[in-house]
Amino acid sequence: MTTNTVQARVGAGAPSRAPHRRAHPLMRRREVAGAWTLMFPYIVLLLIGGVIPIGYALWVSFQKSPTLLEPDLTGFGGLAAYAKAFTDFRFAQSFIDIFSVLIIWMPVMIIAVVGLALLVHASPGRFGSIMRFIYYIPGALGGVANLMLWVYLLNPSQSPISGFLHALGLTTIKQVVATPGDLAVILSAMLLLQGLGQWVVTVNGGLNSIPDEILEAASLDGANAWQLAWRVKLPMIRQWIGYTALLNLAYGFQLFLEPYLLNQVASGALPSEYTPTQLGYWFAFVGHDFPSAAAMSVIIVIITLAIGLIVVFRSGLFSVEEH
Amino acid sequence: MSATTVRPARVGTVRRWDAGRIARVVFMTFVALVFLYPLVGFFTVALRSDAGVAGGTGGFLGLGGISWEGIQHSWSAIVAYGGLDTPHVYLTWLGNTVFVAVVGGVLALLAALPSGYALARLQFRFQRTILIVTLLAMVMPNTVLVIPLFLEVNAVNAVGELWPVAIIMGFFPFGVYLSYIHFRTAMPHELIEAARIDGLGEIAIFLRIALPISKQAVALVAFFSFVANWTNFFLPLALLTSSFGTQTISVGIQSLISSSPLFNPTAAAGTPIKLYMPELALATAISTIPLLIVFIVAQRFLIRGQTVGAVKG
Amino acid sequence: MKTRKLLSVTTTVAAIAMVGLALSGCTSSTKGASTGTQTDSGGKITVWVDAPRVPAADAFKKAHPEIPINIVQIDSTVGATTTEQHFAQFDAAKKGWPDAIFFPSNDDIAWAAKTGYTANMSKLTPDLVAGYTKPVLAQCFIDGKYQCLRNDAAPDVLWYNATLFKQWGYTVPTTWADYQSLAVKIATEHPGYISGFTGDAYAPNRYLWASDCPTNDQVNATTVHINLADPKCTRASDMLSTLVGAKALSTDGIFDADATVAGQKLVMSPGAVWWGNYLFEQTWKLPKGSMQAAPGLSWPGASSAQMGDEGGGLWGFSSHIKGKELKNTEVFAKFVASDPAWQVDLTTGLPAFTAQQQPWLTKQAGDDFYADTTATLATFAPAIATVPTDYAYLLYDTGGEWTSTIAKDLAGGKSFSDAWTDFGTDLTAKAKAAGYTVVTSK
Repeated sequence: MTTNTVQARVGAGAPSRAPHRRAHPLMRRREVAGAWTLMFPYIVLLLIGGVIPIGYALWVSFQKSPTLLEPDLTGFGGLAAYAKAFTDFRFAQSFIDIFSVLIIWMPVMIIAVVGLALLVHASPGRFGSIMRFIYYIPGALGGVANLMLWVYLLNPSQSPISGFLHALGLTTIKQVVATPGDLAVILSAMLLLQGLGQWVVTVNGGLNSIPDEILEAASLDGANAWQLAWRVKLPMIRQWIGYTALLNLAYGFQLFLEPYLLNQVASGALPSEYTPTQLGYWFAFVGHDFPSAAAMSVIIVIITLAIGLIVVFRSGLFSVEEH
Repeated sequence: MSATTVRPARVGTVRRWDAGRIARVVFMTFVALVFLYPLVGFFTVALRSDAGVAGGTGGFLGLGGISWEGIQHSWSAIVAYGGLDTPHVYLTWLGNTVFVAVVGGVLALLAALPSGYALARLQFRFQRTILIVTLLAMVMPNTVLVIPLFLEVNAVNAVGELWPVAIIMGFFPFGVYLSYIHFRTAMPHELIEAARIDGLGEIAIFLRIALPISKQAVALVAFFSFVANWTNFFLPLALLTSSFGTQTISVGIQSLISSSPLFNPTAAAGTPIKLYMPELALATAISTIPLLIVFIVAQRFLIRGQTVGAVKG
Repeated sequence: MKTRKLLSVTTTVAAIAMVGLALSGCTSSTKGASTGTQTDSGGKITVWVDAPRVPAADAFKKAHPEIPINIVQIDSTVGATTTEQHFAQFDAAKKGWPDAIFFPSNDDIAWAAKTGYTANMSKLTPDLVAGYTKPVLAQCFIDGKYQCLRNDAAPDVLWYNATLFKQWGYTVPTTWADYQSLAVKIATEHPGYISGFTGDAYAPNRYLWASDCPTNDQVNATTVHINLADPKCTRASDMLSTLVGAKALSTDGIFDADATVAGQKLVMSPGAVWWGNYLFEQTWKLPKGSMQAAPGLSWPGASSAQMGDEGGGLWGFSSHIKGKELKNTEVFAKFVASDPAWQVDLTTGLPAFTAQQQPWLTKQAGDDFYADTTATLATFAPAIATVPTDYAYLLYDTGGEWTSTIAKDLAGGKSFSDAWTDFGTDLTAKAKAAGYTVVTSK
């Protein structure tokens, strides 16, 4: 039963497991030394780009929360900054707003990514790679470039979907983005179009790393393409799907650039603190209150992780036990 | 495990035009068309004249409006943009972006693959802590990291220089996770044990055994970090404040947008070079070309069958 | 298992916090930029300008080749806050500020003054300050000193389409009441023709500032007076409500791309003096000889006209410099504020600096764009005196609140009264969030 052994092996071997090889202390020491050598470049970058800035932000979030009118509020403030962020009049609304985007976008995104990745994977040869390329192209229009694409798409006077927009009674770009309820849909569509291709490639990479023998064996057992995808491939890429879900969740939760730039296109007709991250940005750079901005970020991270950990555990992203 | 002697060309694909296959091809083509429709329209705008785009002429998706004069006009406007102090600034931005994206990408590769391997397949203390900190760094909103990162770069007196941007871009936790997952799916323990018994050191195992089966992971990490660096907006915005000529393309395009009469009509009167939709679309389209090239190159490595079998065969 | 994981998450977070704590010892606090040492670059100056002001910096470079200058173009798109972000970073690092800046938005002067960036111009260049009339520089007078210089004056006049007025036999209104009744009449008799715009961030300046409505009324450094129920507000909001109901106003903003279409149907509107050149001539490309300006409108019971003010950019100069760098920055300040090479030859707005107004008007007369160019230009400089001077730029963005409530609601089809309520709620909340104490009466 090649399938079973390989599957078991592939799933196994997480850190801190494998008690069967506690053998030689010398080997152990060599392993640890080797591990740290391999980790070294990343540890340096992690300190510069991750630990130090995050540590700084965490520290700042427990400082007193100043305003430009009271710049002298300094020193340890306990949870004052958190309280200020939490009681801000935009706080609840910004989370409602971001959830209204996530709830539209996330399911569509995950289903589309996994579905298209499986389809691409089932389409070998030129056709599959051409399709993968086409799905990727919008991803090349990232950030500001993506905005330009959407300015073109959403402007009823030149849009290729102007017929659709006119049918909805929308004649100016401001109406398109400012009509209640439109923004969440537009942002979802922006995120979807921009992110889909890259994630199809990622999950496709996961599918590619499934050892061929497993697929062979299943094929020989008489599985058709559908069963192969559903019963064999999908369970094997659980970690990849979990990773996709987690990262997209985090990315979606941090939504900033798109609503910020869309607001400029709409001549300021959108709320400038639409998402929690925009509110955090407001605290930091408009309110000149960095502690509250840091507190806001910590709150965002906690909520992201709370949802994210469910994803992590369910997908076994860095779990120890398998199945 | 005597696999790989027989490697059926395409596992799971029946080489017949059955209903399932037709449905798959039709559906995938349909999705592709949905994607292409707006993109073709957008890239066409880049090739048209100001008047044609503003007037809404040009027929289906404006394809009829493509003109060589339009392209030339738009290109010369983009190149001429920049003022006395920073002539041809668009080209400078492209060069800067190539620098930070390549250097950042190389650093990301050098860091992500060994660490992903060590995290996935070796045992050492703080392993899980590092994974969690990495995760934390990924979900932390950029906005709050701007000030501490700025203070770091300021501490070494390098605000406005490109290299700190490239180094911070080299911190690419996404790539670490990607390689971590890759080594967990594709690299069995037995291989490592066998290599150890053969007397290979830990580093040698990584270099001689883990790396050769990781072309795909290398391609993915390199590709994604390049794309992420190329489109990164926050980092250059925060760290390259001191001069217009040291910006990268994403912040640069934002500058173009902000000096376009379309978005900032008070600019209409003051600026000698007027950027309308075709110029902005062309500037945007050109900025995506490197990403498309990188994808095509990377795509060659995104192929199947590079796992256990390949190494054992 | 799960408890262990959660535990390790907690220890990780705790460990990171410790790192932060350790770091706090060697990193300075994030603010308190007001105190700091002044530095000297040895002469090189860095100026930040938005796209329309790049020609000013270029002209300076040509006129003063002896002064090394680094010109940085900044984002001045409506709603952009990147300049503020950069300044917050500089404040944290206690260095990096530009020597001179053209503020992307006039509201920016509020935080720039509060963070201690702006130099005291009364002390630095008293002769320049003396070259302005008091009302034109009123918004620069902050905490007892002049903290900025005005690039151009932007008082409102009444713009109207002389061709249509003649054709339809209307007389030019001189009071806000006349403006209201004529606008309703135009909307009834000629549906589709409009008498104003509500969709841009300057709309509250155009109507509420003109009415002296307390939206930006500073009582003291930390207290503001906001009361949209004040009769000075309701007279404007009642008028707007009537005009919106009669479809006499466009929901576009003057800066919207779509306003080019609406602009062709503009019959009359209060608008800044720069509308003539910026909007009508260059952006909307209205036919030559059609538009015309008339002196401002007066409110019931008042004898003189009272109008708003839309923009008119502000220059700020660094208080963090000394020596040669400061000397060169003063030269730059003098140039952009008063030199004809910029203020007459290049700038498109009415110079705020008194001595350059007449030369600029003379130059504009050569263009002969208006129905009666002499009469139009004659309304410009006197309009400065019609603007109420007690309006202060503050730490909240009234224009931004207007666009994200009223402009949005009206574009989305809500009634004006609902939109007005939203605006009032948001404005007060934003003022409080910025740290102000809000009072409803003085």
